[in-house]
Amino acid sequence: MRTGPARILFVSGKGGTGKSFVAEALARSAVSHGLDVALLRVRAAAGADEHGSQAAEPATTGSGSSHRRGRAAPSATFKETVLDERATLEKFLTRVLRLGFVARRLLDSRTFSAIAAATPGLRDLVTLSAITALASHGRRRGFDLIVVDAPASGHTIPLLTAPALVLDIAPLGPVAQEARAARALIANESRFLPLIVTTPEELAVTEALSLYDDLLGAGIPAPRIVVNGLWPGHLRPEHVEWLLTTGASIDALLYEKRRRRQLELVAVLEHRVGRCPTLPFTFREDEVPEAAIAALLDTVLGALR
Amino acid sequence: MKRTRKAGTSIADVLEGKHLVVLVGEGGVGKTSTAAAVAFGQACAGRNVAVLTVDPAPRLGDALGIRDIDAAPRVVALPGGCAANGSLVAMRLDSKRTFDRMVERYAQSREAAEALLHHPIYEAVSGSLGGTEHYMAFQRLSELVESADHDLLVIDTPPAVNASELLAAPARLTGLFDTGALSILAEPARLIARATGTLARASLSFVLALVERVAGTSLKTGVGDFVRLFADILAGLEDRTRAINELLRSPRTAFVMVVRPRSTDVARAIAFHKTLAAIGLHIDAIIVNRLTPPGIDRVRSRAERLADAPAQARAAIAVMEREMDSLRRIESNALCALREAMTGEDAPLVITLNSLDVDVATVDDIATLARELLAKR
Repeated sequence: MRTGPARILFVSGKGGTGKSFVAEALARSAVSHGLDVALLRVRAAAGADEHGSQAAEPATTGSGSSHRRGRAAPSATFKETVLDERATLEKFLTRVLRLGFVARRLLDSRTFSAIAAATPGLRDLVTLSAITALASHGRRRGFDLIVVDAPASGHTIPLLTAPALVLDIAPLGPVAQEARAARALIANESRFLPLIVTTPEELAVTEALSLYDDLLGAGIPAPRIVVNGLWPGHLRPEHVEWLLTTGASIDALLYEKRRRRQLELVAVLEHRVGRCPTLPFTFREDEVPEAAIAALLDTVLGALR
Repeated sequence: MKRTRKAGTSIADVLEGKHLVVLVGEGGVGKTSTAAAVAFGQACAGRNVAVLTVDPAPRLGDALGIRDIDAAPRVVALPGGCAANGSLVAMRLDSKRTFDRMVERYAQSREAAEALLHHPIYEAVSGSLGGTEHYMAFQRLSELVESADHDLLVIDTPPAVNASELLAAPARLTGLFDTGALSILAEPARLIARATGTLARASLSFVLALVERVAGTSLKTGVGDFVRLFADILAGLEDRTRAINELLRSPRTAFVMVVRPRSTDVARAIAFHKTLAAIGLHIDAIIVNRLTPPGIDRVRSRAERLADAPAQARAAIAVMEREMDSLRRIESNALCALREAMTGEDAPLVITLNSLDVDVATVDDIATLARELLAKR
C-alpha cells in the first residue's frame, strides 16, 4: 500500500534510552499495518562499530533484498539496512560523478579518504543523501515509511546540519546539489519527523530537551519526544497513601518512589514541549509493549500528514 | 611500558598508589556520580584530588558547583570527619576551549593562531568532529598532569559510544590530519611537480581533478588554507598524543568501568573490556551500578504484611512485588554473565552498588556513595 511519497521518521536519542529498540518496534508495527517500510540503521560517521554489537544485528545490506516478516499484511514489505560507510560513499560518488568505476578509483585513493575524513560535513552529507535517495525512489520501488535509527543524540545535529554546512563551504557543484536536495527533504514537515526517545531519567530528559531546542534552532520540523520505560501505575492514590503510612511492602514503596520521580521528569518535559507519548517499562527484556507502540505509530503518522 | 598488577579486593586496593583514575562506560550509567564518589573518598582520606567531568547531570553539577559549561574549577568543601590535609577540586571539560588553547600554544605566531581560530573549517571541526571531545578530555588531562597541582586526578570520560572512538581518539585525530595526504591539498601544484614517475603524476592530477569536480573549487581552497595553518598544531598534537598514550598505560593509572545491570549493557561492557585489552589498556575494576536493593521485608509473607490492606491495594502490591522480582532477575542474570566473563588472574574487580533512592544532588549524597563504594569488597 503506497500512500504518496515516502515519509521519514528520524528516531534519535541519548545512548541507552532504547532508541534502536523503539525504531525497530515502530517499523515492525507499521509493517503489520500494511505499510511498506524501510528501517535504516545509521551509525555515527566518525566511528566504527558500537562495541562490536553492530555485527550481531540482522541486516540486509545492498539493494533490493526486501523480505516479508512476521505478521506483516500480505502486500507489505519490510527492509532493514545498516548503512555501510564505504558502500554509501560509493553510491554517492556514482550519483555525483555518474561513473561507477571512477567512483571506485577515487575511493581507493588515500588522498581522497583523507579529504573525505577532513571535510566537515561531507560524511554526514553522504549519509543524509542515502536517506534522501531512498525516499525519492519512484512509487513502484519506494516505501511508505522510512524509519531511521539515527546515531546517538550528540551526533544528530552535525548530521542534520551537514547540508547547510556543506553549502556554506562549497555552494556550487554536484555536492551542493545533493546538499540542497537533502536540506529540502528534512525541512519538509509533512515528510520528515524527528522523534527523540528519552527514558524518564534526569540526564536523558536534559539531553532530550537540549536536542529538541537544537533541532528547532536548526530549522528542522518540530520534533516529538517519546518517554520510553515509564513504570506503569498500579495503585490508586488513596492506596498509595495507605502504603506510605503503613510501609507494608518495601518493594511497592520503592516502586512508587521510582515512579513518582519518573512522573516528575515527565512533567518537566511536558511543561516545556507539551504532551509526550509514553511507552511502559515491561519488566522483561526484549518484550515489546505492542499496544503503546501502535498508539505511538498513530501519533507520528498523524503528525506526518 | 609493561604494567604489573596485583588483584585488588576492594576499590581502595585498586586505587592505592594511583595518580590517575579514568572512569569509562556508556552515558547515563552513573559514571559522573561514581567519579565524584571515587574522588571524594580519596580526598577525604587525605589526598589532593581533582575530578574532571565532561557533562554532569544538572543536579550533580550543582552539587559540585560546576553546572555551567564554562564554570571555573571549584573547591568542594569536605565535611568534618575527613582528613584535614585532603582537598577536592571539581572541574568541567570545555573541549572547544581546550582545543583553542592548544592552537594558541602551538601556532607559529599570534596572527596564525587568530587566522586558524576564525577559519570556518576550524570552527566546524573543533566543535563537532567525531572524537574531538574524547581527544580533548585527554588533552586537558595531560595539561593537568603537567601542572602537578594534585596527587590524584579522576576523569569522567564522555560517553563511550564505541570502544574504538574512546581511546583511539588521539590516534584518529592525528591520522585525520595526516600531513602527507593533506599537504597535497595545500599545495597541489608543487606536489604534482615533485611526483617523479609519469604514472604517479598522472594519477595524482586525476585524483585532484576529481576532487575539484566533486567538491567544487571553493572547498578545496578552504581545505588548503586550513591545512597550511593546521600543520604547526599537528606537530604539537603528535607529541601530546605520545605522552597521553604513555600516561594511559602507566602502572599508576587505573581504569574503572561503570555498567548498568542489563544483559545488553553487560555484553557491550565485556566487548569493551576486550577491545581495551587489545590496545594494551587494562580495566582494573567494574562497578555494576544501580542494582535494585533487596526487598528485605519479603521474609514475612505477603498475606501477613498486607492483612489490613484494602483488597484492590493487595492485588496491586502483589503485581508490583512480582515486577520488582523480575527486575532483580534481569539484574542478577546480567551480573552472573559479567562475573563469568571476568575470571582469571588479570580479571578486574567486580563490585556492585545499590540504586540510591534519589538522584545524587548534594555533597552529602556523594559522601554516601563514597562510603558505600569503599565498604564493598
